[in-house]
Amino acid sequence: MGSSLYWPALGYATLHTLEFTVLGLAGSLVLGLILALMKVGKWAPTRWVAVVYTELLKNTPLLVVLYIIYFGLPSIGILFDRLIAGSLALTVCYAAYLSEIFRAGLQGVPNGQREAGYAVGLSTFAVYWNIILPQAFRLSLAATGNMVVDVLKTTSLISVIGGAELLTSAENITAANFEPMKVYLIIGGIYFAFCFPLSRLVVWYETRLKAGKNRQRSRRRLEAELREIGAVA
Amino acid sequence: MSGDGAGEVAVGAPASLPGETPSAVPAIEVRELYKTYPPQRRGRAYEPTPVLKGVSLSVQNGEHVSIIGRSGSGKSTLIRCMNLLEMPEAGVVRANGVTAFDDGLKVNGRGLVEFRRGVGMVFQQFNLFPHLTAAENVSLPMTKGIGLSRIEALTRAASMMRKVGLADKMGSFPHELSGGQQQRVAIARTLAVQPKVVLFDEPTSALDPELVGEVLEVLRELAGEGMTMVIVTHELAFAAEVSHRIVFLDGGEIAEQGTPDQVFRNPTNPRTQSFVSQFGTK
Repeated sequence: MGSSLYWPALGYATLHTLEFTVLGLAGSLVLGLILALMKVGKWAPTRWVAVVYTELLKNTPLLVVLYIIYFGLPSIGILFDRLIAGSLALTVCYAAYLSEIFRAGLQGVPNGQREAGYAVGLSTFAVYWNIILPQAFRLSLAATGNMVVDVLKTTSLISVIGGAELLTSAENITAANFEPMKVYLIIGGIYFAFCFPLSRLVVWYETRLKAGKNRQRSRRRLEAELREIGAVA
Repeated sequence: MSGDGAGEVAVGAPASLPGETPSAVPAIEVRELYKTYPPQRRGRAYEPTPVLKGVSLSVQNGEHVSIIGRSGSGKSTLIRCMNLLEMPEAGVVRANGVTAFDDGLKVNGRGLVEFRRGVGMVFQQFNLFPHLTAAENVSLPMTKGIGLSRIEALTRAASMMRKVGLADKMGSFPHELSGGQQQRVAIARTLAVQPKVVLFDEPTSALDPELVGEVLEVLRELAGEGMTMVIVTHELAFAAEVSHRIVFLDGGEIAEQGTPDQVFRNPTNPRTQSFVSQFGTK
């Protein structure tokens, strides 16, 4: 079977796909959280910037954004290589989607939580970091998990700029061996092999949270500490 | 404003206060407080709603003041302005010698945090942090606020939990506790940072009747220790029992104030008379 020849190429391409996924995700999670915090913030100008950004990017195809970044920006002197351009397109688009998920999560935490934090003399940062974000995280978990899988699948769009990820590689291979059915089935399988465990992982973690496994762990930790200071028998 | 004169007369330290001189700096005071809720954008209510119309109240160290009145009279808004969870439009808010708000000027973020640390608040809905154990709820303000180590904070939390009678519930999460227990944890959390004044915003209103007693018991104990307390409450009998002074708020103004005896037995204002005859317990 001649297929053995293209396995190394596919392995290499898989790494690129994961690279785009990780960079795109990291960027969009950070930017999405910043945008979400801007949207729930008190200050109107930043709130509007975040809202306009979100609407703009949410309603523009990622493919078009990618073309603008990779083919458009060079005409005004801004050049990115394929890795940066691809990751950037994922970042700016998914930040818009994620910011909506995070905003809903942040707003899902009752206002009394914020007030209780302020009332005991915590700073705004301490209130968000210790009280609001942990609860908002739980509320956003399922939707965020879906986005993680979505980013991985969407990296295939980067093939239009020859991103050297799985789909690009598959196109190159079929151009040489004329076995599109086989090659595309194989990369479909590779995508699935990554996405399926990932979505199961999210479901597993959610169930774990619901079952209070993390609670039990922090309770055990607390009880150990209390024994140490002699507060309980 | 009109209620002002009557207010100031009674503000002097009640006779029952231990060792207070009339000139003592009040633990907490608000002066000529105005608060208006903005008009609703949707629906019919385009008129701004005035809630506080120039309320002045000053509370001495060790004094227990209960604020009573009908719903919508501005009780909660008043008490929420006292630790600036609600920002008034005009007036002065001062506590423990610090002026935190003066006619629209407020202290900066750092100052506000410091100010609130000296003025604790217990909420109607408890507002415990659901993702933390009871002990962590109590120690969080100490670890993340005043910078104690986790062990120091837990040690202090343990003694607070003992004080409210929940030493055996340190490792429980809020959803595993009854309403009364949750409120007692919330009280322990408030006391943990050692505020000089504690504000209680209807601390028993969200509780099932059979759980009210255990929370009032804790409040009674705190009062016995001489804690400065401002209590918004519908428990008139309790208010009469622990308070040095009763403040009757009506339509955003202090309609009447005085000792429990004066307000409940011999109210002078017709609005107080009607309220007391309707809800009062003789």
